[in-house]
Formats: sequence, C-alpha cells, structure tokens
Amino acid sequence: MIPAALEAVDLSHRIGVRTLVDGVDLTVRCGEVVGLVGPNGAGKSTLLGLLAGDLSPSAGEVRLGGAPLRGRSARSLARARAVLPQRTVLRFGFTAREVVAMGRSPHGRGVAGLGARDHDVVDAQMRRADVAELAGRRFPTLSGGEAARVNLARVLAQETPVLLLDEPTAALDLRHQELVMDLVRELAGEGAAVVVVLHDLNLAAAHCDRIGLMREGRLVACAPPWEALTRARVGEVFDQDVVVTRHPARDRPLVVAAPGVSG
Amino acid sequence: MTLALALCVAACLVVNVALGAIAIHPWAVVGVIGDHLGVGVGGVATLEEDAVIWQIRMPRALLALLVGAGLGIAGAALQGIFRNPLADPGLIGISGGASVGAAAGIVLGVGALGATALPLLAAVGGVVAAGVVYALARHEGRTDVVTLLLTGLAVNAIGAAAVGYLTFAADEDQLQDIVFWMLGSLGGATWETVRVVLPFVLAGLVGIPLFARALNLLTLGEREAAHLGVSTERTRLVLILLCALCAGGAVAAAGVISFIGLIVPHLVRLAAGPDHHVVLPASALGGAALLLLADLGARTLVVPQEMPLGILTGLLGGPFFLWLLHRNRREHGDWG
Repeated sequence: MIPAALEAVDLSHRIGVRTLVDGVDLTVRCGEVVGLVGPNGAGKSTLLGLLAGDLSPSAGEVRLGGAPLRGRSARSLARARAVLPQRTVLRFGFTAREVVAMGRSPHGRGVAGLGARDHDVVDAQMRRADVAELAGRRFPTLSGGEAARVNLARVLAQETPVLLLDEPTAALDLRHQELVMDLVRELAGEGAAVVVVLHDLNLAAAHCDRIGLMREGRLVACAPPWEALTRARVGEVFDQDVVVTRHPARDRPLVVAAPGVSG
Repeated sequence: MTLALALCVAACLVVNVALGAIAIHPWAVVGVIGDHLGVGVGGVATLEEDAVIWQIRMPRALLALLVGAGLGIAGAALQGIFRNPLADPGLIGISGGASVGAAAGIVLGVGALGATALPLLAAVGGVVAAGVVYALARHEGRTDVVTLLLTGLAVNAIGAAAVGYLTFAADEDQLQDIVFWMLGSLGGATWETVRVVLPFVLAGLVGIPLFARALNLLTLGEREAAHLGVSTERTRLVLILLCALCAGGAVAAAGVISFIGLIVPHLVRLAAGPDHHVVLPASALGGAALLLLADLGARTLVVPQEMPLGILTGLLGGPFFLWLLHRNRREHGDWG
C-alpha cells in the first residue's frame, strides 16, 4: 500500500453557528492528484486552509506524513508541504526570481543566503513553470497569469512531498492551464501528493486521479473521474442539470451544462 | 551600498561637527575625534576648539546619528510588517504614544528614578500606541492603508490631547521641558543623553536586521510567510516591540521628528531594491546621515536662532509624502 501523505480525519470547521467544513475524511497518497470541486461557498478553500494548517479545526485532525499537524513548527511544516494561494498581492518591487527564491527559505540554514543548489532549483522550477524569461521583471508589474505562474514556481521551489494548490489555473489562458496541470501530473509522477482546488470540472476530470465533490461543507464523494462525475451527482452538487459525455481525445468524462435548471 | 552609506554617515558627522557658530576645519575635527579615541589622525585643534567639538557638538551629532538611525530602521521594519510602504513611526502613532509616555514621565518626575526611566516610559507609550493601531487597522491579515493612516491619525490626536493635558497640569519647569522637547530638538544633547538612548537604539539596530529574511517573506502576505516557515505572530510581536523601543528611545531623546522613517527607506528601496537584508542597514545609515544634515541645517540656517528640528524634517517630509501618495495612486489606482 502506498503510504498516506496527507489525511483528514472527521475534520470540521465552525465559525459561530456556521459550519464551513463538516466531518470530512480524506486520504491523499504519494503520487496522487486529488481535485476538489464544488459550487462557490462549498468549503473548498476552507478545507485547503485546514489541510495547510492555516486554520485550526473545530473537530477532527489533519495528519501530514503520518504525524498530526497540530503543534508542529511553521518551519517543519514548510519543509513538508507547500501552499499556492489564490492570489498574492505584493507591494514591494521584488523581481520574479527573488519571489521564486523565497520558496527556498525553509531549507536555509541560519542567516546564510542561498547556496549553489538553491539557485539551481530556482532556475529549474522557473523553467518548469514557463517563467524563466520573467526572471528580472518586478513582481508587481506582472499580469495576473504571469504572477500566478511565478507563484507556482515559488511553491515548487519549496520541494515538498505535499502540495496544496488553490485554483492554480484561475488566472491562466488555455495553453497555460494545460501546462500547469501537466506539470501537476508530472510532480505526482515524481511522488508528490497533490490536492488542487479547481473551478473547471473538465480540467479536474482530465488531470486528477480522484475528484472530491464538496457541497455545504461536506465531501459528498471522492472517487476517480468516471465515478465522481456522474450526471446525477454533478446535478445534485451544483444544482444544475448537466450532460456527461466522453472527451473526444482522452478517456475522461466531459461535463457540460444542459439547458434549463434541474428540479 | 552599505559601505558607501557608512562613509557618507562619517562625512556627515564630521561636517556636522565642523560647522556652526565657530567654524572649525574638518581636518581638525577628525584630529580631535582621533585624539579622544587614542588614534593619531587628523589635524591639530586649539583647546577651545577641542572643548566645542568634544563637549558640545560631538554628543549632539552622535545623538542625531542615533535618533536618525533608530527612526530609519524602525520605519523600514514597520513598512515591512504592515506590508505597506506608507507606514512610519510618526504616521502610525508610535511617536504620538511615545510622546505621551515621555510627557507623563516629565510631569510625574520619573527622571528621579534614573536616566533610563524616561525613554523606557516613552517606549512603553510607543508599544501601546502601535498595539492599538495594529489591532484596529488590520483586517483578515491585511492592513488597509486608509484605515492604517486614519487610525494613526486618531491615536496621534488622542496622544496630542493627553500631552496637552499634561502640559496644562505641569508646573513651570516641567512645562519648559515638555515644550522644548515637543518641538523636536537635539539641543539638549549631552554625553549623558547619548549614553541613555544608546541601548534603546542599539536594541533595534542589532535586533531588527535578524528578521530581514522574515520581513522579505512577509511582503508576500502573512499566510504565505507562514507557509514558508515564518512564525508570523511571534515575528510581528518582537519586531513591533523592537521598533517601539527604537523609535520610543529616539522620541524620548529628541521629541517627535517626523518623516525620517518614511523618506529614508523609500529612497533606499529606489536605489537598491526591496531586499530587507540591504534595506534595513541602509535605512539606519541613511537616517543617520539625513538627520545629521537636518540638524546642521537646524543649527545654521537661521543663526543666531535655532530652528526646531521637527519643523525642518516636517518641511522636507511633508511634500515628499504628498508626492508619494500621488505616485502610489497613479500606479495602483487607489490609495492602498
């Protein structure tokens, strides 16, 4: 059995009377890409925040590499998991390369700067995220899509066994959406465990090993694409009648909205 | 960059000490300083010149250096903590809080408890004010500039009211002390003042640069910094404390000197980029150089009168701040 890189056990998060995440059980193994989809406000980002350790669960626990998240130092977590936020606002004029190099900081020793290996990693990950040519540009001057890819390169430079990505493709054009998702697959192929929040069901269907559907804080299902994205389930979760067909070029489901609203 | 600035500070120090009611040849200044440090360099000075330099101008110049360095580095660090290039010890209320502490100290006569009591009280005032502003101006890990500046404004207003009341309650001698000190001046500098302020500023100068890496990561955002291994809560707390010590000590010694902490880090970033490994030491040095020059101006521009230093830095800093706001709005389309 492949070891579990990340586990959520009966995980809940409540603010006041509102339950944002409700009793979620989820296991993500090394080499696996799990997509999280669901309507707005379903609790995807909150779940990701709990998995990342940004938020403390009201109940249940998260285990990272077999050990509970609670009580671990920020630095030890930073070596075990990397998080790509939805959007990063930077008011100071760091260059794209400097931003990517910040990803190396959990591996630094004392006050010493970056070593030769760190620089190699930074360059390699920038090429991977297709941002090598942006190296000298000031981060605040980048377009949304460019900034998103620079951020992805920063997350990759952290070289962690677990990756949590919050809508990595949201700001990207078609070519870069594919490029980023191919990259995510490649990382899983190298042994990483990836949880990725996606808005686009077809992107999730095409690139994820399993898809978790969330609705009102609950993980309604978490299964391979063909099992997860049935017409009935998608219709129920999104409250929208859909047609599920086969992608003409890959053996994956393709989900499109059907005219009219169900029910 | 840092080395060039260090040389610049040394040059400013010598020029500051050389010029004044009696102009002394800079080479003689170097000679006197060398003499007292036991190094045989520089020219020869008369006994009178020696006394003017070593007893009067040197402590004042050193105090200018310390206060400038303290305000410069505190400004740079605060801008990093608040993730906002418009933060400054004066604007966000640290100086206001510190002045309440210092004025209260004067009225309560804490000077009798020892020379460190007054700056300590000023630092406490600074910490309290910074804490209030910080708690009120932050929302979901972000600091909105408008809220930040308005909160600073309100805290400063409360501080001014408190200082006003203390002025009212003070007796004749205390009143003179408060007024003299409120205008922002280095006129009262003695070796004793330098000795008292030194540990406060030194705490910031030594402590703050240890957080250069964390400050760089914090510019990405608090969550992002935490994801990269920064214990953000602890870092922010320690940094604000250090800034308050540093700026509070400076305020206790020299009154409220505005804008140094705003202007200097900006100029440094324009010249050398945003990396805090450079920005922090360079802002300390730049602040020292700028305040040495400003103090020179304060002493020599309206001879035989002396212009309060706070007025001069306000005259320089106000327009700079306006320009900054304008540029900020043009580039980002908003005030934040």
